[in-house]
Amino acid sequence: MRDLENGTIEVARRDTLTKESRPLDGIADHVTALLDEIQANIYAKALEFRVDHTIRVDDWDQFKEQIEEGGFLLAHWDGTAETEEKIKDETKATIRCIPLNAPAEEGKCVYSGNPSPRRVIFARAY
Amino acid sequence: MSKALPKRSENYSEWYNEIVKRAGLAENSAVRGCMVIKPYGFAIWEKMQRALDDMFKATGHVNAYFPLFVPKSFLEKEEEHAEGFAKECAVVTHYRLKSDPDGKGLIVDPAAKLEEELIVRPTSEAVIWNTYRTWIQSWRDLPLLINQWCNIVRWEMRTRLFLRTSEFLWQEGHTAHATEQEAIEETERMLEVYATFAEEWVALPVVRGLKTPSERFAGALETYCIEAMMQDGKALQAGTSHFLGQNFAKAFDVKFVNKENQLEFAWATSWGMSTRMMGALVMAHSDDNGLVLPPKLAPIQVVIIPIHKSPEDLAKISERVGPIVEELRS
Repeated sequence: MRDLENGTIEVARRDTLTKESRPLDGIADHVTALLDEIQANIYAKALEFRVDHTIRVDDWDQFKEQIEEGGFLLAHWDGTAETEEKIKDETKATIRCIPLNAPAEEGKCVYSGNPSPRRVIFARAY
Repeated sequence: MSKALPKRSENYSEWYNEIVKRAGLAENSAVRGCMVIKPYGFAIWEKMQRALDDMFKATGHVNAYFPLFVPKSFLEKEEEHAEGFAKECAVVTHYRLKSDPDGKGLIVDPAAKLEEELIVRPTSEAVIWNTYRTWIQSWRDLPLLINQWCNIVRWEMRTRLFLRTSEFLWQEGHTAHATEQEAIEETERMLEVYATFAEEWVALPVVRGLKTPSERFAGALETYCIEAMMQDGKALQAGTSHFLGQNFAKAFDVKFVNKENQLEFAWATSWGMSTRMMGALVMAHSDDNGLVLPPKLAPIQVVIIPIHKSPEDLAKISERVGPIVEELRS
């Protein structure tokens, strides 16, 4: 009620849990813009989380350690189903995908040491 | 006061289950492995459906509906496909019940045994490609760009609300093309539709990629997928698009006369996204206070709470707020 007398309104947003006092005039436009901002913000947060938890791994011991922390492990794979299966048995990690935009990069398979043309994404999955 | 929501850092799995329940999205049902999607959860699903459906229509697809039951002989026709799904099929063997002669309720009537068992669809390639045989004769009939919204059943031993349930809702696109190139382009186009939907509507960043041969859809030559990361660092496959080559056309004898007047097998794709995306939505954005939804999929985007001491105050607030509500709705 006090807000109303002042011509203001308290606006709270769910994504950041922040509040601010805004003038009542033009509040609908402000809220509409805020919804777009929230949409963009939660996408940005999720993207930041993914980037922070995507790690290049070149060593098998490091792989086993890192997989316990979760996240995407970018590692070389020799392209065989046998290696894929063994990694899965030992760490519960599966190859989530061979990213479409993965740059060609010569390397050695993190498990077998055999040649690999590019990194793939390993992770534990739902 | 109800018990506090478990924290993500303490018990991520319980945190997820509790949010789904407390936010009224879904609950476990009396039927093991099957969920009840509650009105609020369904309202979000409807928003997802609308957005996706618009994107399918904008890329030239139409909706249709095919039967729930797949004759066992159909499922058998594409060998890899049959092998891949055999272990999780619900099978209908009888079509009638009768009163128990001992007076204990109902029993399956042994006289009503089906000549051929029917499988509750785990996916509809078999039933649809059997239909396409009569729909496709000439290159003029192609491409055939069809989608269906439906439920499917894959018998799961360990289930979780939205993420893995024995019955779930989804859409499945099934397209037929005159050339390999066209079918591959369609597979990639639909992957991009899913990726765009995930990023722009679900606010979920995804990696677009290819599955390894061992993770491919049973019967596909190539499976494209979008993979997202949940807040516990685990991956979640949020949609798949398959290039099926001529496997199903050969299995179901779907041939067409091409422009050179020669008989040829049609090229196929299929692609699906399911209520699993609801699980991804919750897991990706919610916090220790509860559900967080991207505004574009939120059934309720804005809540206005009048704080007042008397009915007169409320009337004054309502008078001022009314036009704002109208403006926000438009």
